[in-house]
Amino acid sequence: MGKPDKTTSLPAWSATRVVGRPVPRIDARQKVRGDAVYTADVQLPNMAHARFLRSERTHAKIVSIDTAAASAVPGVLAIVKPDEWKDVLLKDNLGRGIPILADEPKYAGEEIVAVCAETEDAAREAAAKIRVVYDDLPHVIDPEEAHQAGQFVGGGWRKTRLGEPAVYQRGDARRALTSGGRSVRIFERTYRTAPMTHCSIEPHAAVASFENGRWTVWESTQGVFAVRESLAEMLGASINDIRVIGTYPGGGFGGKVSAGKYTFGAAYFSKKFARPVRFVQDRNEEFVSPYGRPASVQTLKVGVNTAGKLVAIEQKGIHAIGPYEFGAEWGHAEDLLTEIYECPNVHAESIAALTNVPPPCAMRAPGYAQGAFALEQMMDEIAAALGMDPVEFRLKNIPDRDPDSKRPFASPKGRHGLRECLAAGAKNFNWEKRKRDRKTHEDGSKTGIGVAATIWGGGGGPPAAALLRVHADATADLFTGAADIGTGIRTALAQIAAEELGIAVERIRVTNADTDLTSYTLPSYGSLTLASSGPAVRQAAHDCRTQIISLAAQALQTTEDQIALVDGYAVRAATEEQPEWITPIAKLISQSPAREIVGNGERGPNPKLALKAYGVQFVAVTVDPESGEVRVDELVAVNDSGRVINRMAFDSQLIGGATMGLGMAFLEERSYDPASGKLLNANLADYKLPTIFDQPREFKLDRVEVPYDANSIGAKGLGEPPVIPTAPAVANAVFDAVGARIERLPISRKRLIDSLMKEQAKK
Amino acid sequence: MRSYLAEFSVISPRSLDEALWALKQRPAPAPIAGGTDLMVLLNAGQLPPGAYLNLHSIPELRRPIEFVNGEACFGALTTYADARRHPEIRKRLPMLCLAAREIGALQIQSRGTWAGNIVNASPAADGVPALMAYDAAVELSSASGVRSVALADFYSGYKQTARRPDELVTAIRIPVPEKEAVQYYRKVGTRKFQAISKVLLAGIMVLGKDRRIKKIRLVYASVMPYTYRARAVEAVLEGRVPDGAAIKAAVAALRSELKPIDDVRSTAAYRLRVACNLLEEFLSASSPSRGEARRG
Repeated sequence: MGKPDKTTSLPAWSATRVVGRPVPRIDARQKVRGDAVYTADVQLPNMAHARFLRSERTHAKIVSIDTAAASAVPGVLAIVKPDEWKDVLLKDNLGRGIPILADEPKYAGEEIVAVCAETEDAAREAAAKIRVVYDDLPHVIDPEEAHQAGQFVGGGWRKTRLGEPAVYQRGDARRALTSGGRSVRIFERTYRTAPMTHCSIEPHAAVASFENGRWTVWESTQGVFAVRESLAEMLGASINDIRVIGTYPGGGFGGKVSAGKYTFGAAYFSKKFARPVRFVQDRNEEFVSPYGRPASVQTLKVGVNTAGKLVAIEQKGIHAIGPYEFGAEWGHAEDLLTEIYECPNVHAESIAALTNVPPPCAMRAPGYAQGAFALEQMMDEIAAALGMDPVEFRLKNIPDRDPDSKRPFASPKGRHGLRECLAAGAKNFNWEKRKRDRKTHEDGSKTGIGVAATIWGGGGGPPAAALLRVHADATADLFTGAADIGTGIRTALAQIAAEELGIAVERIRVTNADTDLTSYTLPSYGSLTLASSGPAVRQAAHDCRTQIISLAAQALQTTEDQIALVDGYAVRAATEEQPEWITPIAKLISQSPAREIVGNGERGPNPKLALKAYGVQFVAVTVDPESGEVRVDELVAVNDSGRVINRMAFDSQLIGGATMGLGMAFLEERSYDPASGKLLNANLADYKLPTIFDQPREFKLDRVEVPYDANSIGAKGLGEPPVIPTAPAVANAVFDAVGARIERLPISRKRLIDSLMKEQAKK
Repeated sequence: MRSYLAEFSVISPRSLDEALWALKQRPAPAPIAGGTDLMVLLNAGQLPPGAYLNLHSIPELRRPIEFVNGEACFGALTTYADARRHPEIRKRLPMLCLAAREIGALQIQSRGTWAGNIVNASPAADGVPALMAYDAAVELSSASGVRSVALADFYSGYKQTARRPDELVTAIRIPVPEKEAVQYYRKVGTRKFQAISKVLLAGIMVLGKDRRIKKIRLVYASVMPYTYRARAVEAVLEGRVPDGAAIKAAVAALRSELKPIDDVRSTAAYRLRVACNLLEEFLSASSPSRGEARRG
């Protein structure tokens, strides 16, 4: 690629024809008809099948593994024990490794043996016939117990030694909380969030083939380049020995950012037997693999002055990050409280507690979703204690600059996305009027309303690149490294290209997520894909546009500034001297020397500003105090993600995010049996996700497009923000209805009844 | 792990006689109709290998819902969807429709049968409580004859039923209740749809002109190890006007009668409390379609 960075130097679009409109997904038809190919669908001739045998014990030394009966199963090709792969490590973001196969499994379900066979059934049967003798060792499931025993490291991105928390500090929170005297009121509470599983519809899966000294890997992934790097390291191969093709991933939510153990297994066996190997996890394996949102225990201590300004926040977060230090970067929840509100004194300790559960990974808004459940309920509690409206209290604490980096915001002076989201949300929800509505009804039910806010990065950045070929019939091929994990990024990128080229979206074919065909791009995580790849695509399309306009100017014998590209035509508008001239873009290209136009785009760096996306949710609930059932009657979501590229995808993202948030609020929890350490609900019958009937009766979705010029498309991320405020907004609404503070997720029927009984007992 | 299919055999009889004869074998083949319970076990590798008796091939069992002598008659293959779609069932036995729509997804409702719901004997069955509240009777056929068992006497313990291995449920007869009967059906699950119940109450109450309770049925699911008719509470209530004092007495009786289960879905304490709350709600209900109105 290597084009100089122009991504931020392109002027913002003034008027748009395609960008900003609701455009159905370019692959909707394929998906609805079942034509879309996911990794589990990939079938290759002579394909073998692999799977893991997983530990039945929570923590044990393996005494022996007897594979005699398993080897006798017809069709078995290989059975691999831990020592055969003992030098292979799967690594996390900070380079901490875990073995592919454990000889001392440290959580129930950890991979201990790999089997490869002619058929999936043979692989299953063989795995079932392996006899493992274990010698049990003690285990710890509760993160607080591990913390007390000193078994923890720092969570988040600051690596520490054993027994040392990671500390974030600005100002002096302790002093502010102890020396404020009567002018500072202090609030303290402990909140707990549950361990969760991503539950992507497509499980983790890879199909690998080894031919001519090179691997081709089809993978359900958020990032083909990250898979290539990680797999190359595990195989001891060059990255150029591996081609990774991202199929439709069938959901990712942070759980498919890099290669998995199964990826290595598929690649290893494919070389060993010189035939394709399919490695697809079962649904119940999805619950015991190293993925998921870690459980958190967060204690918040917040000081606020009589004017309603936050003075200090102390937070201690204990997170269950599994038995290895691997994945400890996801054991934190302080980001949100360090940046959403103005607060001069913050002290946060992140404790990644070593527990005998699967290590976590990123899960949609990692840390923020857990952190918001605590902070945004605390904001509600403080507002009530101060006799302030919770919306007003938040507005009062909106910062002028980023409180963490002290950088100015990338928004026009005087405008702040959260302020505008709160105002728009309160209006759409009719907050002022509904505050006064009656709460108790004749049938015994109680209604309540609640609000919560969020902040997220989502500014994106390099590396991301795009290549665009416009053909002689004015169709185009767009090549981009970005994976579409269900957000509709392929459609949004096609819209951006169509906008620049003046051709219809349907004329653009998108080829994405293929390490051989597309150029290096970061994985689709952190809600950064649109803001990273969008400007690169615009740059590539602008490059083509410039060339087409130049051809048109020559053909129409005019200057380039007179030409517009509209609906597949190059147009020179009529003037007093000359009539309108119009010629098809296809004709210009077919008569050009190269017969096609090629454009490159590369994402440039961001300006040194604070790049933040915002959102709020307002909810109304009805609580049945007899059964503990809660119905969400209405959910208003308003987000500021800068310029909305596709209004339809924007709405879908808000609905999807809030629905996932409702799952977190009411249903989702990995339940561990403390005695055996085993997961009791490793399936979708017992681990419940919300269905369409659990959605609110009414969604009201809105956007606040605060102008944003940190990149050339004016857009910020939206993937994660909508999941963050849902659980605290619901908890605040439940409190409004019944007067019981929700300290623990999920808000199950039983827990709600228990807290109501506790409240009654107090009275 | 999924079961190994070669370990299973399926017998497809062409008549009821053939089926009943096949059931005389030892061990008797397990009947399979909709398969909505058995196929789940098969997929999880928990279905015992052996012979299964396919009921779909038996013409005598494939018959529509009929109304005879004030009773609805279901066949062995009547599905939840059949009941949901039937206009007379909707009108005269509304709890069956409420129950039918609580069971699984639409696909399950189209496959699953009422007879299967009875025989599978899950303590959390959604269909059985409604049938029991209506005083349904189960017709059991075997090579040695036909007998009828009241559904309320069908269960004796966890997965313990009155059906002998050689018997097949060939019909379910459901008396249509009095027009003025107050009916109540409410399921409390983890989420609104496709969730196994934590507590379920199906109730029927007929009041005399003097407002005294002439007849009452209270059937709970998911509270006891089997679908449970709270006879002691019924006895407390019969002949009384359902006023505050009666409700109090009934709740007290229920507290001592129920010995709720503790499991992964909920706790005994929660179940007992909600079971009492539902009873109270039912007894203070005035509209006959309270359950319908409660649906989210």
